[in-house]
Amino acid sequence: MGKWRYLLLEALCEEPNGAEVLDALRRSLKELFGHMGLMEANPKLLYSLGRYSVIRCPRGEVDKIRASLIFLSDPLGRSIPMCIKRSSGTLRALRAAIPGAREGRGPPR
Amino acid sequence: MRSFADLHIIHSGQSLSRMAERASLLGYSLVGLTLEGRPEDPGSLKREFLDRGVDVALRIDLSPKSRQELLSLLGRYRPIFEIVSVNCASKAICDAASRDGRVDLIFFGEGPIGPRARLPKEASSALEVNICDLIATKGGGDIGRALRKIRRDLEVALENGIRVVASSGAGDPDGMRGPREIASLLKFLGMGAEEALASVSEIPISLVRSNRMKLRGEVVCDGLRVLGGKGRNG
Repeated sequence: MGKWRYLLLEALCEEPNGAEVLDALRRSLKELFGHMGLMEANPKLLYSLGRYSVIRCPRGEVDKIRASLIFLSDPLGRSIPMCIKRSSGTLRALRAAIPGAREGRGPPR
Repeated sequence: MRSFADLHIIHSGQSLSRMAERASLLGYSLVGLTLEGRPEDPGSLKREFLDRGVDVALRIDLSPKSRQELLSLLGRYRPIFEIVSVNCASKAICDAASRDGRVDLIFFGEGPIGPRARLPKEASSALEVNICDLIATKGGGDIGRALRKIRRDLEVALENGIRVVASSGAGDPDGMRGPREIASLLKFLGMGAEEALASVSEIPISLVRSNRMKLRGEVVCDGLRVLGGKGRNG
């Protein structure tokens, strides 16, 4: 179907865990695009290791995720600088870019 | 492959090496480093970035209070800095700065006129949008107001066919953001996809390239370039 886009996020500060990243992303999406925007972007965390997280979102919503990364912050309002290291249409293609994935620690096939 | 530039990061002393590292991680190939006054040792400042594969252009932000002060500052600093930007705090300064070929970038700070200023249609300077204005609002400011300000700036530029350069305006590494993230935000603020990407890549890079040629004396004026070496005419 190819309806999802898979994004490899890299935290540029101390390592936040995957759940924290997803929470921060949802907060940022809601603040920037409202409840409807959050519903449409609907990011889902698939995998997290150290500074890296893999999320999935609908194919047409990548720009919303990118824009909301600018405002990413923890509940105390401290900025969480992150960037999208790679995006792909399949999880398999993204595996190669995930550090540690080749040693069998990547997301499930 | 596209190259990206962030023309506005502010030299704040200790964190320079971290900023250089962050710029490299975010995929920038060129940054504009803002200094206050004449640089004492530009070579060592540049080396921090060049060691990490990031080119540096030295920049100064001018905040003149009058047209006369602007002209005097331009005469003093234009031959030294690769990028000269002007904070347009009044209509008179906006008019003078946008028409003066020595000014590369203009931006609207928080002033009584600010984004309501109308740029002349023949403006030669590019308009700069700083993302730090938005990130700063996370500390309790009004994000809607900051977004409206940037959208108004963009409307002014698009209306007048003025080039737009998007920068982080960061004074510390945590204020820096990725170029594609900035471009995505600009898309939601009214720019086209290709225009938004150009504002963090081709436009700032070509601006620095042409300024370097001017500073080396290779360009006589816009559209007129000296070809060949000195020995050609004897």
